[in-house]
Amino acid sequence: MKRFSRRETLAISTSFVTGSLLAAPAKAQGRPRVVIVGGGFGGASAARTLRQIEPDFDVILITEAAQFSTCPFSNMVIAGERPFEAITFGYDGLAARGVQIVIGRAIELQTSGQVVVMEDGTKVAYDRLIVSPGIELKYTDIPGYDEALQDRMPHAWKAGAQTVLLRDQIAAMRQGGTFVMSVPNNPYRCPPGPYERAGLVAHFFKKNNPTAKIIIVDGKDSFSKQALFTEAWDHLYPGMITHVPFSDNGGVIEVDPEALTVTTAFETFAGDVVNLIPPQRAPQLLLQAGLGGDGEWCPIDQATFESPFAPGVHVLGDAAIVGDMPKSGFSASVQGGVCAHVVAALLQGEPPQQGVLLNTCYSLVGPEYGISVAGVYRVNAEGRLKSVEGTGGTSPTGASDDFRVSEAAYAKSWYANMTTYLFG
Amino acid sequence: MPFCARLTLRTGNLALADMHRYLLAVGFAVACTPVLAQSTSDEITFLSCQMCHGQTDSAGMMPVIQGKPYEGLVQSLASFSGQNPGTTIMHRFVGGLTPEERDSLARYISGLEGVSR
Repeated sequence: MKRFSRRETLAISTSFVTGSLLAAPAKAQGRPRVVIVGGGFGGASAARTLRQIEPDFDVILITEAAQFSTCPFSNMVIAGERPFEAITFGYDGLAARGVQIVIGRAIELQTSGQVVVMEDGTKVAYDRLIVSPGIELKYTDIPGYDEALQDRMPHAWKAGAQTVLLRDQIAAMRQGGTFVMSVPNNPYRCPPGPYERAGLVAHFFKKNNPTAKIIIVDGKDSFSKQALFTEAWDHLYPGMITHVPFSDNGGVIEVDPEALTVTTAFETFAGDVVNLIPPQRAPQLLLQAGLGGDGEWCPIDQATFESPFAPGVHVLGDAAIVGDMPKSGFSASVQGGVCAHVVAALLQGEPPQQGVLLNTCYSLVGPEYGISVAGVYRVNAEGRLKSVEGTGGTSPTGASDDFRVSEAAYAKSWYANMTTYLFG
Repeated sequence: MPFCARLTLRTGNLALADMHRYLLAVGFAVACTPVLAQSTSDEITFLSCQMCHGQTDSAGMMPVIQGKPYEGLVQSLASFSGQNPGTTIMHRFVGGLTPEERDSLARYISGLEGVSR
């Protein structure tokens, strides 16, 4: 692969830089400049990979906060099994690899002018842009709910203060109380996440509040790893968790955050603690730039992650429609790495190559009870990232306790290794 | 992807109009599409492997594999596709690779610099 000649100025400052330094026109500097919006799994992976394979590129990561808390393993925090600090990471590792970290909020993607406009008015120019900002919650899709009421009925679907809040509400719930979860229809971030949460909260209740009940009011009839979850719930927490599928509730029509009720077409569910997970979409930042087309998620060229609506802009992770891959942190991490290779190739004037992409999602139904789903994906002749027939799938039902213990250990290793790789 | 690989643009001049480069790159990508669907890069496939097997083996469950001998790697990949894989998840992945891809990937991984941690 042809490389741009290295310069004596190659050693890039690893310090955090300000927006004003970045506002200079990219092309005048003669080095390819890739800007990445989003400091989660996808963005961190893209940044790390790009710096590794193209040390002559300027790689700028724009992220809203100085720290990132992961949704994976946030349910362990909610269940009181891990401290919040254990799922929170900074960007020193990426900075040490030469990624320039910009902490701030991007408010506009000017794709025709190839700049990202920051909240403070600075403009960050790019040769190619990678966007991996995760999801936006559609609070007002549920009558009665509002962003201002999120602390009354926490969603805890973006890890952070909401995670800690839900943990504390669950810990303070009266003995024998009811924990209601409202779960949206597909598509949403982390398909098995709500059911993992139900199991781990049940584990907490079993130890601390054994007569408590959990009711899952679902916006769909079936869910990811369903047979494995229900088998585990019956085994570990018999009678504690009730799953009410869409066909039995008719869908949420209203919530009352003061009374802590969730009203569906058929029934009203009252909780002592309510976890309301709203429907989701790609963030407004992307939709207002036209990257969603007529929809709420961003279509892409599934071989290159490039938007059909904005040449030079690549979208990945939860915000994008990435073929058969689920909206998971692991998927976003893999996509970030692949997208980095694509962007590097295109900026070098070369055709991007393809690989085989994997997804692995472990769920803990109890701290020592793990289950998993896996997927293998390849770009087919039509350019679609398809699941490979006969591969992937879930852990077996009816497996031994030893098998579940083993998968729980793998889950912990999976999380530690992935976060060390990205943020360590 | 030998055919596509030879189509490298001979330019390092970033002053070229972006749209021009974009159209060229897309043109090549389209021209290569049937090949792309069949041919994969070990370096890109390894991105998925290294999320679990990359820099550290925190709990002794998912070994660091880069720089490990080729024979052991290719043997492991073969055993995962057999009747008694002796694994909880790897057997769900290996069927997605052709035997040639497994062999090539093992060679690639063994050629990487080892991680001492």
